[in-house]
Amino acid sequence: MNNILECRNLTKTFGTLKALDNINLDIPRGKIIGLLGPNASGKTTFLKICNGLLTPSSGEITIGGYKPGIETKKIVSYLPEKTYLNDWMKVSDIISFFRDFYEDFNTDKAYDMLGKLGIRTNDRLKTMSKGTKEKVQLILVMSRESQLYLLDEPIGGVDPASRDYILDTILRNYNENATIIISTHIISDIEKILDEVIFIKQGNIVLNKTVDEIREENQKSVDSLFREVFRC
Amino acid sequence: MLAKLLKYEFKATSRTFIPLYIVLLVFAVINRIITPEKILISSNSFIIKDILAVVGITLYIGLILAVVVVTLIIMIQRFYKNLLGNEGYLMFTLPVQSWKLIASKVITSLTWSVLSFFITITSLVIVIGPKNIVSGIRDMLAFIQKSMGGAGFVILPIYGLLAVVSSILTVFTAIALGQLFSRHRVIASFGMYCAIYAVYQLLMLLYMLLVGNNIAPTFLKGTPSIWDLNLFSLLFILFECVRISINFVITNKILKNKLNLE
Amino acid sequence: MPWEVNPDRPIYLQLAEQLELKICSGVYPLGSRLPSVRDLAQEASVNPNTMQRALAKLEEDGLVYTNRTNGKFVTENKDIIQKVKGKIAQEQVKNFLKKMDELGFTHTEILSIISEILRGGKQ
Repeated sequence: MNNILECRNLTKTFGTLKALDNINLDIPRGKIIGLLGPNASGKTTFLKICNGLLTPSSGEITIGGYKPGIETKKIVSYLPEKTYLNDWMKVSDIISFFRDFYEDFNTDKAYDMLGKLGIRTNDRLKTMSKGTKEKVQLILVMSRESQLYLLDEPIGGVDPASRDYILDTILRNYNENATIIISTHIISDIEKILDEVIFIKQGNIVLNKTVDEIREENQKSVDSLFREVFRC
Repeated sequence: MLAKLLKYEFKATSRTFIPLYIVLLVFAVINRIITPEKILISSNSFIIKDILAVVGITLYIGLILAVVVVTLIIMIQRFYKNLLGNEGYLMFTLPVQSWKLIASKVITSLTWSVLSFFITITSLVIVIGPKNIVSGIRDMLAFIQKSMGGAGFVILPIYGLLAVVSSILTVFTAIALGQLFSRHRVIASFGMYCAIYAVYQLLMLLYMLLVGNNIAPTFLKGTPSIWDLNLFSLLFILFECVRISINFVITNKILKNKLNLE
Repeated sequence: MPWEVNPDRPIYLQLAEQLELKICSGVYPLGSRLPSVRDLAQEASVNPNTMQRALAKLEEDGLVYTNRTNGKFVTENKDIIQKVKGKIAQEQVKNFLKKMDELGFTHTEILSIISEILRGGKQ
């Protein structure tokens, strides 16, 4: 199975609003892919459908050959934009939570990464800053040895040093059988680590190329092309 | 997976309940010490000891109310906040079926409801003293024996538990139905709860009349036979089972197919 | 030497050039084993596949070869290195001359500026 994700004519409407309009995608394994678009372009809707948090209005999507459901949740690791951790938990609680529910969770890796940030197992999430909590969430997500990682705006609203840390963590945990899809609207920092980019505009895919193809064909960075394509 | 969910549910909720129960029982003991039975009967003197006793009893009653309210609030919060708030992003991406998520909340809510009830009774025993309570319980048991026979001791607890499960699920269904609205979800949930409650009250009335007329005629005549009372109760157990099933199916369908987290 | 990636050219080409430079300047000496693709990518903060492409280009050019043990090694062929060094030198000079030409300097003026700077450097 060469593609980790395939979708055909995927459409999602909310009342009269068409959030996704006839999306067709084949996403191969072993790539880091940027899903780029402005706010409300459909990025989060797409990721939620991949996770089973939303059901498509029409069309179909398969991950690893399965429709979104229990089988896909086992192989998909999702980092939402929101903080989904419960404040009362200690770090050790949330780690054992992940270990209990996810077979592919690598506890040693998680503790290793947390240790490097100076986070101790008995720390309570309540005492952490928002930035630290976000890093904890990232570590939890990247400590799973999954086949598809979906990161929704991992570097938005984050200071430059933390951004570097996040990108470094993503690269460090890359493995050639897994694909990472990063949805963001902050492109310049992230361009170097991407294999391919998908531009999404108002629910439609307007571009799907490799970063180097874009640079060769357009003599400009993806960031510059983005500004052109999405000019207000 | 359900067992794991239950483990975390209890972990998350016992942090609130255990201390509360302890405080309640401690207060019960305190009240037992400073308020011996005699004070509860009115006396004319108005000394510090009496004021203390009144304060003690008031606080104690306040605590009982707190237990009731907290049990209800936590039940709602575990469903609303944990499944439909930000934590929903975690819970619904776990590789577990949605019905297990619902079931784990129902089971823990049921457990805490029952525990809250028994702890409250225990605290009452501590404050008032076993004699009155035990004789009251003995009377109640005798009454059940007389009206429903031995079967009553099986049927009534089962019905009681089912009725609690049913109320819990009704709240969950109302919250889930509220989610179908894009705005004002909380108000919609309240509205849904009132609507469901009204519908079930009506259905229950109709059911009662139906059963009363056709199956257990002596019931409505005021002197029900043991057989009829048992039969009646069994049929109500059936009613609650159906009600529970309907609520469960509706809630599950909504969470599985119509989920739309903010 | 930190890795530099400019926005307007393909990343893998820029990585290949910088790897060439590191090899020619001795950061990765003749015959030595290069760090793994992952480590290089990590260092440069780029996608490992892109780094792989850069290394593939170097292999095409003969600067690097893959061993059975799956490591990548710098060539032991001094001639190839010299050729690449020469190529880099030519490119640098051509770029320099182009700029000087835009400024309007003649070749004689350019040569005397160069000698002056070189003399100053020796002191």
